[in-house]
Amino acid sequence: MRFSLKLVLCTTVITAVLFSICGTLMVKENFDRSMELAVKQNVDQHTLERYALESNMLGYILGGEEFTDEKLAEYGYRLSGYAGTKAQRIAIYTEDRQEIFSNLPKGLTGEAVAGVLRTNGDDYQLEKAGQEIYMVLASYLNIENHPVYVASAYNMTSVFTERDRQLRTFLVLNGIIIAISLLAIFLLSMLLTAPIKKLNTASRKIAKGAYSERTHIQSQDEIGELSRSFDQMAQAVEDKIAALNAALKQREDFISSFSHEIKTPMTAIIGYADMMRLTPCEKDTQLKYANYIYTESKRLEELSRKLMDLMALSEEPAVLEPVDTGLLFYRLKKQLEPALGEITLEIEAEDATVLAEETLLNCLIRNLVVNAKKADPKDGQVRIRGTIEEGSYRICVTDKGCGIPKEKLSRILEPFYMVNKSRARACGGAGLGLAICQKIAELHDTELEFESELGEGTSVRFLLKRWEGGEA
Amino acid sequence: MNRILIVEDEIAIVELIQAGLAKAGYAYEYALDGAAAADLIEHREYDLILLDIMLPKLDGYELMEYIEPQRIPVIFLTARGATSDKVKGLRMGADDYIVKPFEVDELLARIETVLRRYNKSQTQIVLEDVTIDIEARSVVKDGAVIELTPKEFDLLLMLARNKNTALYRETLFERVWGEEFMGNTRTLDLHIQRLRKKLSWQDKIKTVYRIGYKLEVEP
Repeated sequence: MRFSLKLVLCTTVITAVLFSICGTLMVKENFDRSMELAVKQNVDQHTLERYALESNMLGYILGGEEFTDEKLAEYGYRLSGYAGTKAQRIAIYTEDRQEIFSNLPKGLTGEAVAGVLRTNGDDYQLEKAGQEIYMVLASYLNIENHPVYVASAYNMTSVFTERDRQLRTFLVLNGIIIAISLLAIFLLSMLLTAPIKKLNTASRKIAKGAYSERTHIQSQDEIGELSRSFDQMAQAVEDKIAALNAALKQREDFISSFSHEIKTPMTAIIGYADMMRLTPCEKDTQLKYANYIYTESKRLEELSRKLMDLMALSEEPAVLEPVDTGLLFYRLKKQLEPALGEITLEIEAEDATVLAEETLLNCLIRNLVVNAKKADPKDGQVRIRGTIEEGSYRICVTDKGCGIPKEKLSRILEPFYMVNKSRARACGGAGLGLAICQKIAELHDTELEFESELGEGTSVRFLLKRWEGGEA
Repeated sequence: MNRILIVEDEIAIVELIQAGLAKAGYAYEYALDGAAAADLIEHREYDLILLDIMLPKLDGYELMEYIEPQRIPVIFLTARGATSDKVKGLRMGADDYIVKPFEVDELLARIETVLRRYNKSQTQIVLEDVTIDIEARSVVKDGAVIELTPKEFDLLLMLARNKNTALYRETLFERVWGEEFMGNTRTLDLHIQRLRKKLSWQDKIKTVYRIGYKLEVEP
């Protein structure tokens, strides 16, 4: 069942029940009050009639006349005629309940009269005669040893009809009020559930893949709060999905590049080896083929080594320790100089202690220096600068080599990306060096910054945290 | 003679394909990047293009769009082996799709098939008085049909395609029987003997000492 329908039904039922109870109570209260009033009036009237009868009969007796039932009947007749248009309904009975006089309405049975006769005017009974309702009162009189019963009946129909009229009015009113409240609550519930519908539509759309869907409900109530949380959640989901897709794309690119990088040398190796074993060939052809097989195998070997490095870096978190930069650069120089050949390595570094994993840091700088060397610096130099900055230490590797075209700077960190493929191949590159550097930089919580001018040279900078724990 | 353009950025692979094409008797040229290839295609006519996908400057797909209207048969030659890549390549109008690493023989066979489809290839090899019909797989000598078993035919084809070249026994066996050589050359030797007899080529199919066999015909 829809929430709005539930709301409408519940509120309507509650309104109807409460209103009915209130109305009924009020009508009853009204009725009770008029009843009480009528009873009091009628009891007084009855008492009056009784006294009148008693005094009249005593008058007869004192006047020396004889007390007879005929006289009683005559007086009863007179009494009932007093009211003129509206006859008094009275009845007089002997002690053994023989009727002496009665003008009680025809419908009244003796039951009610008999019932009240026992109570001597204190109690009354209601009884219906035809369409009318009567209140019956009775008293016992002993007039100079002549016991009689006097009973009166008063028409109470108006009290009851008034009650019924009130009830009818109330019912009509009740109906109108229920109808109005039904309409009002229906509109209200529409208003209240509109944002919920909106939320529902949005979540369905999101479930179907429209991750950018939002509710944008700005109200300050709980639904507004829920909508804002929902929008936040949707945003988080969208971001997560975008990140996952990006990671997937990266992975696909990596695999695609990787398979290209691996299949090309494999094709050459298989192809040349196959040719050599199909038919004997000339000495120089054979040498050429063997050379291809050798260099392509070397390429594969380099590729697998670099890939292993990259994978190892992705797996383990680095443990950063205090490293003395003087010692670091001394070792680097010693390691690199034989490999650099004609290129000279110039190191200008302030002494400091940095937080790093020395082997990885060494590898990072070495890769950068080797890259600088491959750029073929015009002045035959690669420079390393180490400068102390506030709380950190900046290392900068600079060359005056061929530089990197601006449009390619953004891609150089991608695995297997090579600015100049044939040139990189000639130097035995696999396109993984900077990807490894980037990974190492990430492990040191820093970033590589490139600055390059085509034909002028390249400079790579990164920051390391200085160790501030006292002596190294 | 069919002219083939090789578009491939790895010189090692280019030379490998060249060696294969030369042996099979094709004329060839090569381009190391997409732009150079487009230049060549504009100025010269080719019967077939071997096209790598990952190329500098213009990639294989872009080049394909350029080639397609000229209706030159194209075989993609690439490391991208995913089915989606293959479908994409073939949808673009390539005639075949070869995934690296490939073997030169396979490449040659596929080139032949594509050329034949375009009626650009000879379907017959004529060696002196013997005519080998590759498509019908029949051999005719002096107007008379020679009955050969399938293996005998494959063996003859292999020798004919590498005429005047000594072929190693092991490799010959592998190529014809498609299984690894286990040191027993008897099957091969028997087939060679039968071929010699059926074609009366006792003097032409020569045994090369410590290597294998060679078909010696006039070039």
